[in-house]
Amino acid sequence: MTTVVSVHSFRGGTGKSNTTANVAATLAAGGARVAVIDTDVQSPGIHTLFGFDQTVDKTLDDYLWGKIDIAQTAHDVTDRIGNPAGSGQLLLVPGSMAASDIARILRDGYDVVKLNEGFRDLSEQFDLDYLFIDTHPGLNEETMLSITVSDVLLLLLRPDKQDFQGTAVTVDIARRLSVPNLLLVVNKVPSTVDANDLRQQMDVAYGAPTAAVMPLSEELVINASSGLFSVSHPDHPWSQGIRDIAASLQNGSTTG
Amino acid sequence: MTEQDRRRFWRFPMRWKMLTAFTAAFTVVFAFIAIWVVNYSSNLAMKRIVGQLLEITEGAARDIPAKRMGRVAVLPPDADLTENIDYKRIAEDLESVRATNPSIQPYTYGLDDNGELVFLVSNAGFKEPVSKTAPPETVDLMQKGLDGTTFESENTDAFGTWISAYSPIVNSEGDTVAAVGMDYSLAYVQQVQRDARAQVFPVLAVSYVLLILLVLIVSTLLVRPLRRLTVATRRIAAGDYDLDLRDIGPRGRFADEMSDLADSFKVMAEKVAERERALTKEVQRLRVEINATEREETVREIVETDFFADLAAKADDLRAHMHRE
Repeated sequence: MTTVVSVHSFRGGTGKSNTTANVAATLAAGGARVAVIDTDVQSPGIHTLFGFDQTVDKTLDDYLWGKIDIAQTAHDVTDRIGNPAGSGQLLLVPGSMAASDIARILRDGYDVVKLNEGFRDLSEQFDLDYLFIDTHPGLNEETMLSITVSDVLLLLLRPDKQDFQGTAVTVDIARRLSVPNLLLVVNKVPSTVDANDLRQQMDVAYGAPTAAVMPLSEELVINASSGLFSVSHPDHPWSQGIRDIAASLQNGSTTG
Repeated sequence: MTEQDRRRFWRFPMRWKMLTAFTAAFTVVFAFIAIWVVNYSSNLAMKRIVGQLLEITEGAARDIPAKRMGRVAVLPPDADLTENIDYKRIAEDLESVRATNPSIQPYTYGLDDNGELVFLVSNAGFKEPVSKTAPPETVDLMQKGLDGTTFESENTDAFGTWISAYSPIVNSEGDTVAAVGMDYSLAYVQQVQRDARAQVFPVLAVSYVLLILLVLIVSTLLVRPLRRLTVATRRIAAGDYDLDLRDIGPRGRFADEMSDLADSFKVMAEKVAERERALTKEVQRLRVEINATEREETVREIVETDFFADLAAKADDLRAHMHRE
């Protein structure tokens, strides 16, 4: 059965796409069949991490307009992670970067039911172990729908007051929508912050487990958007955080 | 071996640098002083000797009776001098000069019938030509000595190195009957130079040792506070900001630049410590603070929408739909 993982954050700039891509890559490298859907159709971007440029075609937008089947939007990017173990596979459903498509989404919105069916069909047709939904930041109708259909909600936040507050709201909403698993990830944590202390405080504040406290890294910023950092820098503390998140997801899917 | 280790291994400490620089500078200065002192004292000695020699020579020329000298001058070369009272008296006069100044070799000379310069009362043979033993320049100067007092600077002949003075013996008519010559052995001047060196060198040697000791002391005094500051910087690097730098550099009215450095260093350490404390406070201030009222209000706003109510009602169905097999 497919574990649907929504990756969400209250505000933009939490490193959501980067984390999603790297966690998905880690799981695929470990032998899982993984797909990533960029549902942030207003400002897509995850495809650049897999080496696509602005002219990527066969996008989620094409599926939403009924032009093509969802299976046709799935680009196999397994080669980006080298040789995965077993039957590991990594698929990407990119969002369109075309200005006209983005304008149409902003003007007309899209059929959330069709999106939901797309998730399901993709999971079934590719016999996925994990389906990652990279969402638009902030709570709106589309993101709440994504959250609702998820088995796991992966909530990313930065260690600041606004994110602490906004994440608390998102956690409450997820609980009311009976999302089975909640995982928190703090990203861009300055080296001066005591990670264990922060983790304990978050346990108390949110009542949900923190999968990883990931460091603020200059190296990551320099290498951002130019590939999968956890593949190119496996020994970096940030990459360790990614592996921790992947491990949490694997544990969650086996127990839940 | 790291780059720093290598530097430390090959390093040339400050005190050795100071010692080398000062020693080099003072070696040059001392060499000049030594040469100058020796030259000055030997020149001074020479000047005094020359003055003395001229005085003695002129004195002798005045004291030797001109009439008696005139009589000796006209004696034939083969005259029997042993019984000649004039010759004896003049020899005695010369001998008395010699007795008071052992370095002086006095003699008289004049012109013979042929107009040639010959020794009269002297150690040389009576009426022996001067040119036989003396070099031509000396002969010239001795010739001039018949007209007036003449000084001859350093000259060397068969008997040694000398300075000489010549002065005419003039009779009451104003005619020159002969001349007195005096040779002064420069062995004495060389002795003065040796004495001067012997005096100067121990003084310089002692000064040299004192200087090196002084440089060592000064460099040690300079380096010691620097070493203490180095230790202090290592402690700061290790996070120990509670430094006692009072013993670095003199205090009170003797305070100097090193004291200033220690003071500003102390201030710097305090500021760094302060900043670190502030930073630690900032880290501690990273609290997961959530405004409960605001949280509830925002959640209520979302939950109260029709969309949410609809979504929440269908949530389980939607998830089940996702996993339809």
